[in-house]
Amino acid sequence: MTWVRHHSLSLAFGVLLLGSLVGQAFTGQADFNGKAAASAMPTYSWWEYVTSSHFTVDVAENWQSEYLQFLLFILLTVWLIQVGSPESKKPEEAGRESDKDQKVGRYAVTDSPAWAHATGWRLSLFSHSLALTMATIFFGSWVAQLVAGRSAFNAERLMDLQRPLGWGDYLAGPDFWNRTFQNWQSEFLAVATMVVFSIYLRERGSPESKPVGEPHTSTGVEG
Amino acid sequence: MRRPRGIVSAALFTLVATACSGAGTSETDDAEEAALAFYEGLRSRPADACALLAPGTLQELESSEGPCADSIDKQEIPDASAVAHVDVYGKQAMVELDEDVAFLAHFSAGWKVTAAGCVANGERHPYECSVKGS
Repeated sequence: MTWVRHHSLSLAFGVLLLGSLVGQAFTGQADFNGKAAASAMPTYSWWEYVTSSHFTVDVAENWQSEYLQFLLFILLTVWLIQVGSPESKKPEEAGRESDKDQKVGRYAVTDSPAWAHATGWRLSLFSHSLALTMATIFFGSWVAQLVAGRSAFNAERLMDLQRPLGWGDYLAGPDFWNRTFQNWQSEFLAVATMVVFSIYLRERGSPESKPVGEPHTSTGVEG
Repeated sequence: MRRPRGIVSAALFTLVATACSGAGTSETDDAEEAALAFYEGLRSRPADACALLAPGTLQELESSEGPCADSIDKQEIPDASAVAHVDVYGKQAMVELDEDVAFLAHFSAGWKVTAAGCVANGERHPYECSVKGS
């Protein structure tokens, strides 16, 4: 039980993710089949639906925007500051910081990860491993959105007795970019409001908030 | 902002693999075979062609033209016998033949013709089809 308690945050979000995906799968199938039946077109079984381009594009367009959000947040907070926000570093800490501050190379401590003790490409790779991983998943999800989005879009075009679009036409068309931008704007809104709201508002006990009594002017202080 | 980071590579791979599987070869072959059987039916046994019409298309034809077996060969559907190109996306297909273009959909009973006797009507508009659903 200790292990579960020590990983309860990750486990909770894992359960929420799976629950939401299952919910999306069932409601998405019902929505798709309702429209298909109204047009006297074939319906999908649950398994057919979750392995279809229709479900894939709906999942991928949300995933890519989430990972883009975190990628940008991770990178921009290296240099950009919001005074008063617990999500920001203090103005004097902007930038990549010193090896001593980052505990790398000869400043690595006993428990530091092995590659923090290293030099050369291993230290460089590990120093950017979080952003690289986020970027890889972002681009992978975005490509998945493109591939599945074109397939789903072309299936609808065929249903409407229209010729399917090639890669260039789909990439230059509104469907791909509308799906992309409608997700990006909501992610950027969420980050911007989190950064600003946390200057003035508090949630007692949350590490995402400053301590309740911390002054609004305090920057980079988490509860 | 500290939030948990999950390992999603496996799920992502599945996602891309699924997305890439939109146009399978066997699906393409099956759609092509159904289209050719439809045109063969038009030439020799109208009832066979009627059996290959999608439910909505069959209903539309019979509501306006009477029983399918008596009316299908009176529609302006060119005789076609060779397939030039097939596009399959999900459960929808477009089959371009030597003399016609047909649209099909994959129902539980197999590929059925949703529209035939189709002529292109500009880039932005649907094909004009002699036989189609409502």
